[in-house]
Amino acid sequence: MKLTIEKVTKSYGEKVAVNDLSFELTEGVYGFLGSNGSGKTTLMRILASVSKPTSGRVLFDGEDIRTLDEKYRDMLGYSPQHIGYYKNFTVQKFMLYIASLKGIERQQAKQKVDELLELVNLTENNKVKMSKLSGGMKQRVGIAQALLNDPQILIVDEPTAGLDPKERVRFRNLLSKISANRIVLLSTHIVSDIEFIAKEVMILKEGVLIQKESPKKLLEGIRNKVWTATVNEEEVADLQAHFRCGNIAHNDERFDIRLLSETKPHSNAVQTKPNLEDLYLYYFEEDGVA
Amino acid sequence: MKEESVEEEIANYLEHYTVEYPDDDAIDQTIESLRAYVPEPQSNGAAIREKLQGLLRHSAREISVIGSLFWVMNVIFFICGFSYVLFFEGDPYSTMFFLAPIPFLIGLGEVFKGREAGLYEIELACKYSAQHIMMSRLFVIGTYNFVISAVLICALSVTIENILLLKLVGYWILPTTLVSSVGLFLTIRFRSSITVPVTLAIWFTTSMMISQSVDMKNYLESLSAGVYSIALIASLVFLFLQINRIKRGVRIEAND
Repeated sequence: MKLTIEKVTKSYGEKVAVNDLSFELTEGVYGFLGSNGSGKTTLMRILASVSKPTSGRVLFDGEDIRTLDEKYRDMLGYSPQHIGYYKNFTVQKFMLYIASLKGIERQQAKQKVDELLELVNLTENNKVKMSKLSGGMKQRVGIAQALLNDPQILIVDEPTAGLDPKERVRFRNLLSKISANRIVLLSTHIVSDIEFIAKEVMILKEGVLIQKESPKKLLEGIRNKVWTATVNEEEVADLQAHFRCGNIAHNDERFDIRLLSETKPHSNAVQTKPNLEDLYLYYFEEDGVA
Repeated sequence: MKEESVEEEIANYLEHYTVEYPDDDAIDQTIESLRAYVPEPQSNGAAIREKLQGLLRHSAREISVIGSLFWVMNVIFFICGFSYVLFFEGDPYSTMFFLAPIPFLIGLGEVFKGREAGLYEIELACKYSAQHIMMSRLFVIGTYNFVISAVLICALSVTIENILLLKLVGYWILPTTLVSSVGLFLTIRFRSSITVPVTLAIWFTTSMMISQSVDMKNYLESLSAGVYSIALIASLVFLFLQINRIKRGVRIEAND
């Protein structure tokens, strides 16, 4: 199973949201990482056949997804960033409605809906109106509906926004579990969502793919560049002005600060093992320094 | 020097290289062998039947999604219209003219409600996509409009003496196609929460003005059958173009 993105560009008038992207995806979890406006959602929507690229094409096992049309959508599960719903629908009715749009027989759909609502911990809320659900609950319904047709390609855009930490861990484990025989695309700006489950992390910046590697390889690239130091308040401001700073934690009268630098940034500084949050900071410098 | 001589040798070899083409029998044999794997083209009749079956199946599903207010409100409108003619001696033609496009206009809100509710994106990514859904809902509201109007025409022709059935049909069919196509044109481009009330308000005002003005009514009735037919064909073509637009896919955001 192979999804090929071939010279895909998407423009909105003068603005180029996605610029000449080419890459290949096979079974496993891929994490799309990028700041707001980096083109993640645009790319997700193109891959979900919701939006057409201005130029280029997407191929599934060598066939254009536009040609595959219904066949492609039949093996697709998509959870957009914002889950819309009909106000009068209960959770169960919403799920059954989407199941019918996915061409699942009613009897089979009922069983699948029950299974998935249990999986996302919403069984007790199945009779609750969609409009009464919290943000996190809606997000979980979004994930459940995407899994209804047991998709070969699962595309989830910012799925953990609004989920509490316990739900996020649960969701990560769920994705990891189901990713064995399918392509899972996960877009996020929360690095911990993908740190442990992604086969490859793809970093998008201003519509351009700047990295596509395994987390391990990406982290190797910033080895020896991440430092921690314990400093006083005045020094924090100074370090913030000159380096890309990560977490700052209060430590008695002083502060523990994590920062990125090619050279030793402070006399107290010691090198530390990089994580994906550091990597994010490294590539999205402006956001980090601000 | 050595490289040049190798290149020259290769060039020389290729110059005299000939491709042996297969003979006609071998070509025919290959074609026959592959014929088994070529999918049988569906006959036109079968394709249309399949599409129609699909449309009916999707429409049956969409009936449960269309809000009960749509069904009830239109029935009330038509009962009021019939009562007005029957008990208050209202003009049956003007009443028909006024009521004709209302179910379709109100129904446009239902056709596009996925887009308004933000569900359109999920619907587009499903096997039966948003286009299927919209077409099915259009079919449902169009059929409902037809049935409810046909019932009113039958009821009027049975209860009102000396009614001209053909004239009544004329007062129904042109406003239905014309106003519906304009309503659809606007709703494809703008939010239905705006276009539906606006087109309804414009239609209420226009139809009231026409029915109140004797001169206007006389003028419309004096139009020849040819002019009426041209107007009808033009509005049907316009309606068809809008439906085709939906089939090709409606934009979900201004910059898409």
